[in-house]
Amino acid sequence: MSKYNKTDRQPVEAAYIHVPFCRQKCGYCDFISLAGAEHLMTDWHRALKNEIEAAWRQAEKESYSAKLKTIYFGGGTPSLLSPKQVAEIIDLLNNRFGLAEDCEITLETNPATLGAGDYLLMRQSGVNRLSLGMQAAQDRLLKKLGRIHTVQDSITAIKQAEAAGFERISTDMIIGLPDQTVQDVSETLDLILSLPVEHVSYYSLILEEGTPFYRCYIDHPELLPDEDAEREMYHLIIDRLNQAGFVNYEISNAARPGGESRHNLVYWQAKQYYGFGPAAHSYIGNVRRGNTEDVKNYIQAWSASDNGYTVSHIDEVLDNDDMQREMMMLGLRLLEGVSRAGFAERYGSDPLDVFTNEISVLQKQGLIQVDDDLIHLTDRGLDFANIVFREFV
Amino acid sequence: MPSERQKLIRNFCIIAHIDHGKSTLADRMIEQTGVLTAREMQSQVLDNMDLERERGITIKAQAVRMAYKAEDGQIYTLNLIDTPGHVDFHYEVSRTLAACDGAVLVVDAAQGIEAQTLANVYLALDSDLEILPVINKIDLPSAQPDVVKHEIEDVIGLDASYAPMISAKSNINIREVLEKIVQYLPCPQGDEEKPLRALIFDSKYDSYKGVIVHVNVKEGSVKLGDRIRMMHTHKEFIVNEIGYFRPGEMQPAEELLAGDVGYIVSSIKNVRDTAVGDTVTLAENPAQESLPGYKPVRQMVFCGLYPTDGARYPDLRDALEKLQLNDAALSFEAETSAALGFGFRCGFLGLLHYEIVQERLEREFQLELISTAPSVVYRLNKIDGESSWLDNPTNMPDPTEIDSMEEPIVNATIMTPKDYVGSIMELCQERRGNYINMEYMDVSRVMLHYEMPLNEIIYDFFDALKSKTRGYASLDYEFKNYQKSDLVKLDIMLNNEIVDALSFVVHREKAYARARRMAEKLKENIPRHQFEIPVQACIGGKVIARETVRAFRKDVLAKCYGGDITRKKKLLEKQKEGKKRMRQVGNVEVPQEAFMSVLKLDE
Repeated sequence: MSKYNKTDRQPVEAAYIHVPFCRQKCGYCDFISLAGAEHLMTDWHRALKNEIEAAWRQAEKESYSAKLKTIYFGGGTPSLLSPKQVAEIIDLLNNRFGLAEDCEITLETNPATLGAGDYLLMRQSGVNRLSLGMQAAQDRLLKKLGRIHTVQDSITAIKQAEAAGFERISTDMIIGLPDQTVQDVSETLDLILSLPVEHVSYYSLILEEGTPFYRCYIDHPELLPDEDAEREMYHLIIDRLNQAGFVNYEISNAARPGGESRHNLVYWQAKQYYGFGPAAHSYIGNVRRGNTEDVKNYIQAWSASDNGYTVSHIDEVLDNDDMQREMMMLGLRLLEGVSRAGFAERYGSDPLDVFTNEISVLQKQGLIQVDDDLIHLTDRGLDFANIVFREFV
Repeated sequence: MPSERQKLIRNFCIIAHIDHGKSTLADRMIEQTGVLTAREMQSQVLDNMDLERERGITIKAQAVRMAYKAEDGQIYTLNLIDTPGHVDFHYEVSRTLAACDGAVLVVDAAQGIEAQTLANVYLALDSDLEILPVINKIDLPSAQPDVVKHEIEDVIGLDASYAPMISAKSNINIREVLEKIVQYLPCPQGDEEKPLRALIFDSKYDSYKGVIVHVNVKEGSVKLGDRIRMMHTHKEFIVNEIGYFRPGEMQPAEELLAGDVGYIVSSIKNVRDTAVGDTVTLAENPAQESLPGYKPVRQMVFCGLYPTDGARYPDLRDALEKLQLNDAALSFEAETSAALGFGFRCGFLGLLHYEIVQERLEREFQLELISTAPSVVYRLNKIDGESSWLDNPTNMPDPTEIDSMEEPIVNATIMTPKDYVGSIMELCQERRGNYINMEYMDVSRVMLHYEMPLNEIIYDFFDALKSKTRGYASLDYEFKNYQKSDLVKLDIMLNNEIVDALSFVVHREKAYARARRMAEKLKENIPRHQFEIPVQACIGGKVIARETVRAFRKDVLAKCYGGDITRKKKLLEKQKEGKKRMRQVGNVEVPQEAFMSVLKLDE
């Protein structure tokens, strides 16, 4: 156990909460979530609170407890929770860890799950940012994805959220879908830009093993837009968003200045975070740990006992070299890149010295660039970022 | 005239096609003669290499001595000498047969005689062996013992009327086989008083004892402490152990006399000093002439073997050295390929031998290998009058320097149900076969004789034959001679650089089709790069086939959040590992599958 390095433990200021429930599973999604298991939500909620209590006690004991700066409810479909359930969790986090003055609290929502009144209640519970799974502005595509909402639902949801006082709204969209055209993507952008949205995530479809989409398309790439079309969609999004005043700050994310997802920046800046709920992962000290993916196991482990860690597992214990590599791999996802000074502050040396060969190979391929303090992807690097990341794993 | 002692000895082998039940019968005989208790009995005692047991074939000959009390009340010594069961080991088979006086021919009651069986029967008849036919698997529902009996009589001309009808698997009539061996097979009759002449029919390397030489003493005698001489290799050794084979173990004895089958240990370090077919004599009182039939081994098939992980090159060398201790037919020498790095040019008796060695290297030594396409040995006649052997296509000189080339031709015998004759003839035609004749063995089966270039046979001919005949045809071949042929070297270029490991020699007429197929296969197996890669096949600089691996447009993980990091890292690591195993040709990364894919173009 000597590999665990307690002295490395910095204050942990971010918390992720996994809500593993959905009305129905979407064909492309491989996140851990149960459809039609809403009857487990109460038990899950109780277990989650126990887990939070235990984490707090541990944090206090080892002195890394700090006021939380970001909280993120992800899923699954967190908007299936009642505003009261959400409020209780936020209150608990506040009572234990405390919340920073400007704590960012994000809730992922499905456009078809909340009514006008719910947005108000959610806002009152403390949630101050919504991430809305719009995905596309074409009902035929939404249907293909297995979404339960329509284009009109998205429009209504955003307007109601705005009316309820949400100033920070993000939307997701997916590209590279079967039957999707560049024109479709352009129309989706038209819609998003007409709405009060400050942040957009745009994901290329990934065929994840075990999903219906994987089974359908892995042997039929011809049914999906080819790479040329997919890249055209991707770059079209970036161009259009840039014109509209958004800055693409990560490979798949753009925001108006100041509208970046501060919670997600924690991941890309290789900072530490709690993960609560089934399948959630935490990164504390030099240990990354994952909870069981089995919702019932999770509930059982955390129902009475105060140590449900028996159903979690350690993903990895990072040594100094691992952490440096990870900082490069994650930091290079950000368009700004990795700050040499910031790296040196953490690890005491310049990344150009630590990764001389890696960086020079990638520079020669025109995938990254070094501008004084910053090492970052080039435009070409955006399309081939895995080649960059592979140098650092 | 045999001595009284010799009258109680029978030295014999079992001839059978793969799967016709040779090993099972041997097991039963060993059981019935009581040399092993049931507990000691491991199924198929004779085939004691894992690979042999799995493939159901014997790679190296084994021997076992049994004591059988016959109905006449006498106790007989039965020496069963197992024969290697494949065409690649033709010569080894012939030497094993030479160590016997009789043979038991096992024929499957459902399948009848096969090409390989017949080839070995003819070899046995050539060696003047008495043959006892045995019909096995009579308890199968599809068994037709009478039809098979007729076939034995018609095709081979043996009297099958007294053939035991058995099932080795179900233990039916095994005693009858033992009894008939005693009754029908002759005993040895060499003169014990003559100078020693013992035939080496196998040798094995043991890390404690050195080489264990398996011999049949034809004349004279040999005892502990004798100084022996190998008549062909001229090496001399002192005998420090001598004895008989019992199943799974060796039983030391004082001496071996004419007619005995046994082993000699004399601190021999190298199996090459004890060539199969050589004659052992005594240095003090040597025989005038060696036993007939000796031939030095000759490798017919060559290929380059490379470790997928270049760092394991020394392990590969160690492994080859170890295999060679027991396998005098395997040759290897270091070679370097620009594409594959350090490896070995290895020589084999034939394609099966090549496959076995490759499999043993992978299985017993945990080596991952890349093999270049197997090649035969060509005769190269240059314009300046020089002639040489060419076993590596990479070394083929510029066409302007070549006057002519010759390639090895074999006599191929294919036995098949007559329904497939058409498609087999088509296949042989396509493989540049020269039709000799066709014989009817019975109303439904025929034997086709072809002269074929060996390079067409080693190039997935077996697979094609099996698939065209649903597995019913069997093949046997034997080297005939070298013949002039219009051969060219086909080079493969990736992104305008020649990949030496992919070059091969092919007949000019077949070059175009092969080139196209290879380019297609490589296109399928080379991953897309950041740039476009032309795949070209050319003869002497002239491109005859071309494909293009298009550049890829993206390689990026769209998402990476807190819960994904470990998983995404692992995915990237796996991809990186995959890339590490690839071979760098210029700036193209070539996966090992690409090298392997061109070995089987028809799939």
